[in-house]
Amino acid sequence: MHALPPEVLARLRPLRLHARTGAAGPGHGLHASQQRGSGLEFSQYRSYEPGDDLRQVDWKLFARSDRYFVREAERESPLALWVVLDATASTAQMDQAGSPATRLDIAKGIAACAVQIALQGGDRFGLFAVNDVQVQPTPGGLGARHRDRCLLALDTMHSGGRWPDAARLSPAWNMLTPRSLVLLLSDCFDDAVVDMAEKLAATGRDVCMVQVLMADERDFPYSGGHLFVDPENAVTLLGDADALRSDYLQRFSDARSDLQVRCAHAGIRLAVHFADGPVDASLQALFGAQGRSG
Amino acid sequence: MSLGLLLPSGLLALLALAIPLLLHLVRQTEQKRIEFAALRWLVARAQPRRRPRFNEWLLLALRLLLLALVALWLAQPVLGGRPDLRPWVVVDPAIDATRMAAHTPVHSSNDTQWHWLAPGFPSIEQPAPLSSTSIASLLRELDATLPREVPLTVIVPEQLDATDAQRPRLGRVITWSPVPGTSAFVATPAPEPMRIAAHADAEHRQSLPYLRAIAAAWATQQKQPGATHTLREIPDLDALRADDTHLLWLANATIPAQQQRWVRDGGVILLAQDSAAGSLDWQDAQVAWHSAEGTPLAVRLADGKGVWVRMLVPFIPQSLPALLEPEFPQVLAAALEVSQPIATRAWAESYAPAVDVLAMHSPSTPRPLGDLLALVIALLFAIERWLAMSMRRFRSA
Repeated sequence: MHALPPEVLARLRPLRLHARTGAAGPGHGLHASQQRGSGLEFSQYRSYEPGDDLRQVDWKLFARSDRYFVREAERESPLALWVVLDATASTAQMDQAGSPATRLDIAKGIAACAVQIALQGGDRFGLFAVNDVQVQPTPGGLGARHRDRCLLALDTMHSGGRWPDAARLSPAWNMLTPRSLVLLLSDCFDDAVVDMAEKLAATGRDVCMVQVLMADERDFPYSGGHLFVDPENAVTLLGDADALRSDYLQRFSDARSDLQVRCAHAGIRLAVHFADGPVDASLQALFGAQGRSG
Repeated sequence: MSLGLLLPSGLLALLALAIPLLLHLVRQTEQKRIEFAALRWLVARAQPRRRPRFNEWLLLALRLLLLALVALWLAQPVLGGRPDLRPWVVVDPAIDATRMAAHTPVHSSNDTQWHWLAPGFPSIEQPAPLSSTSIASLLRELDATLPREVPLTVIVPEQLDATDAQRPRLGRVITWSPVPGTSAFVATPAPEPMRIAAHADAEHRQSLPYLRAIAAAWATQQKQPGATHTLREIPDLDALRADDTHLLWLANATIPAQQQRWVRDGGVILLAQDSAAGSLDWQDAQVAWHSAEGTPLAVRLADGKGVWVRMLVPFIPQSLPALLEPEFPQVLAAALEVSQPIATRAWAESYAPAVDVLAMHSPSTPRPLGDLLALVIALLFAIERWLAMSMRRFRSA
């Protein structure tokens, strides 16, 4: 169980989770909601439209202005964060040079940061590790103790297998309640992952996706003869790396821009995290000052 | 300046250049297995040009260079330089500097090489060596080692010693400049006075008076400068002293082993005609003594350092008429003398070398480059080892 290093904690301190669509859970929290009701913070007056609840009409204003206005109020409510980690075999890939961290290790680091941000904001959080061996949830909860429980669960996650089909994922759907923030940490190479993200976004969840890429995939630094093996299926490719490089880089960047277009269409916030960057870089992009404006 | 090879077949070692080329080829089996998740965007190209590729260019080039230099070293390269055609002047060591200055050759210039006429031909700046090597042998050596076009001047004193029996024959025309003076004469050792021990037994007692006469003749000459010879009678072999140089044995008894050893150590023994010859083979004996008519009177045979001389006629006046001559002691001394000094003095003009058209000239010895090349090879080998070790460390790191 590795705690985050203090400099990362310092960088995370000003961050807070925010959902693009309004959160609507019961209880009190920091986030904007669409609940209307009295006793809450005033939001705006809106003219009456047929069908509005008569109890929301502000009669004092009617008395003053002789027109019907509906008083709208804001209510702060908590957000639930669900971190879904892709634990398929492709996450076992390591960089050739640099630190010996696999993609899953990096995703675990990002998950720990996200959990820390949720804790700072007083939000509920829970974890998921997804591969076709098991779909393992850590149920939602609050507080530092739950954070430690989540970190322990992160430690026990291992890579292997492929992305499960929809039938196996259905228990997860029930936990990912609508109006919760879903943070998906995956390499997004498999279409099934992006499909699930689109479906989640379409059904009312606020989906943030962090595409975790290794530096070797971005740069393709290999040279000489290599036997490339896809870890999830048995596909291999024998080739000379220098000859394959330019083609690969072109196609890979095309695939990444396709993914960005798709996410923009679906309303999914996408950040790309490279293995050689700082662990909180993508979360800064999503939830930091620049993310807030987006 | 031309590079030559003494052993061109050493270049066959260049075939070994193929070995590093083969070792450095990128091998097909060297396929590193890489787990690559983004494989779907990696498209195999139709196996392209299979040009052989080499890894580690620098190390390969260094190794090829090293092997090429080793092959060159095996072929024994030499650098045939421009021959040194500066004129030479050799001076006999007996001539001192003042005379030299007075007799500088006419066509000497600033780059004339001045040397002593002595073994090794030291430069004129060094002190004059003491030399007693014959001039002819030195001149022949010089003639053979110098290139043919080099003008040679020899400065010798007028009276030469240590000469050969004929003029030296050289392969070039040289300038022979005798200057007044005499050569440092080789001191011929003065002939040692002979101490003759004589013995005549009963059968040869006729010779005894003549022996005593010879002894008396020599005794009277003792007042003259130069040691003279002495002759004394001994009753038997035991009285032979170590410093006796000669033994006159006019007797029949065989010579015992001790006296034979004395002969081998450098004694001269004169045997009578009928004395036992000992165990020697007189077939190869040379005639030591001729009579005035030319008949051989004695034969000699060398044995170790000594000489056996055997009379062919009895030592009596009837067969040896010279015994009655007044010069007989000198004749006897001359016959018994083992070595004779050879006359070696001559006038320089009569000793001027002649030209021999058939004389061989050795070409200028080219300078061998083997040592220099070996040094370069060792240096390159050190660099290659350092480079190889650092690349190993880099690759394994």
